[in-house]
Amino acid sequence: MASSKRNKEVKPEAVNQYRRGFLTRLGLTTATAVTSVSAHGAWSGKTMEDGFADFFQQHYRRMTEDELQETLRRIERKAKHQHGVRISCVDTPPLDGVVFGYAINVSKCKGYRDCVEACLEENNLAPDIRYISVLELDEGSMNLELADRYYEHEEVPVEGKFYMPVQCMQCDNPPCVKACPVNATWKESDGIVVIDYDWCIGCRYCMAACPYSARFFNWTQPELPAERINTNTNYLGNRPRPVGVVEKCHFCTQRTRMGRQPACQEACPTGARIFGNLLDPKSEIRYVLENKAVFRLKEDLGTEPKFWYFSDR
Amino acid sequence: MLRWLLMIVTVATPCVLGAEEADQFQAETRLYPEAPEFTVAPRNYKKKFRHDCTRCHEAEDADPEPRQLKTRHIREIDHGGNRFWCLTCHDGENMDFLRTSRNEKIKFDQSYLICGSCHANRQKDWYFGAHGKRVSGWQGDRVILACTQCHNPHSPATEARKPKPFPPVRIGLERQQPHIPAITQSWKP
Repeated sequence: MASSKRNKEVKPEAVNQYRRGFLTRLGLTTATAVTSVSAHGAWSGKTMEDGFADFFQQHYRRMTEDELQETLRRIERKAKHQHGVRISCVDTPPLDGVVFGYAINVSKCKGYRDCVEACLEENNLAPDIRYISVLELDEGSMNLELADRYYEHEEVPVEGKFYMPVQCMQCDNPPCVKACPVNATWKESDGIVVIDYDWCIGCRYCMAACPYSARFFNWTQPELPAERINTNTNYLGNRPRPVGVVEKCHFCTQRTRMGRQPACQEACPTGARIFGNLLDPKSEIRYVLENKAVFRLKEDLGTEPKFWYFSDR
Repeated sequence: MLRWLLMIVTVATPCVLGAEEADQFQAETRLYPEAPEFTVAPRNYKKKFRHDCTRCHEAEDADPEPRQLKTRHIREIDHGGNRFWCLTCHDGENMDFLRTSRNEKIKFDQSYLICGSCHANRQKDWYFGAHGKRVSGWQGDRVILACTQCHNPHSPATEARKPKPFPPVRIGLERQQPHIPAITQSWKP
């Protein structure tokens, strides 16, 4: 009954007029919205296109070259918007015939923490995250439970103590990779265990699986002052990370895959850190492994770290 | 004529000296031929290590007798347990050069040849890369620091200094203390 009543009251021409008016208004509104999005950058500085592209972004290893390049440009735009800094984000593939290894001479390490500072600056770390911890231990002891990473002294080295930096061991049999339910972390062909920060769901299973406590979680949006940002960044390396993802040492992929030394090696004033290609028989790291009494942390777990320690004695 | 003569002398002298130097400074490659190739990084001595010895010693010969040194010298040599004197390492004839125990005249940049006469193990490690520091990238030309670029030759022990700040603790958490194991009573039957 109601419909017949409406039919009686509203003439078909009027309906058409209504519809036309509505469509015109809708069209105008959409046009205005699209213009404003593209011109002024709505969505708090992000374009709608970037927002959608972020949401539908593929896993790093499933992206085509074009998609990857598009993603890198988007990361650069995001950094400009969030931090006000024009960064360069690239993807450097692993080098052929290279597997990276690291060795630390514990006799040479004096506990200055210069490596920790260099890492902080190089890798755009949040203020509460440090990839490297320098452990202070009693001479003659190797009980890591008694190690102090918060030591504060007027001068180091302290008599009767020795210092042992720990960071991600880049295991050859990494338990963190096995624990990840979404394959957001994996081992690259050059031996570096990397994370796709955009694929990480923040479940922190990898943190629980890591026996070296080498992984860290961004509980809040990392605060990076513009003047502190390192603009030379890498997709799997030191690009600014979002909130709610796990991160860790990646042997400075942005440097080492270009033939440079990691920032911690460069900063070490005592030459305690030796970095190189394990597959090159003439490299320094191979000399250390073949001629020094080296050891690794928690070897019995079978994680096969590519991070060795040795001493002069 | 005189101008030409002067010019020839000016140009020729460094060439002759250069040839002489090349003869003198061929010591290093003999030690470990199987060690990877290297070049020593350019000298960037800190001010305290910088000495221009010939400024005075050109006019005055170095005194080979050990004694308490006066102006413009290092007061103490904290190296070698008081058994060293300047001429143990420096060349007495030209104080801007060094002299090895094999009586070879070498440049300051080749200090590793002298250090190795006592610290042979370290020297071998240095040649192969287990001691010292590589300042170039991990691949490509191997540029390394010479001994005296890290160690003060007159007091070679690494200096103690204040460390960089300790890592922050996340808000709401307390600084993790090392686990001190509880002293348990010894087992009694």
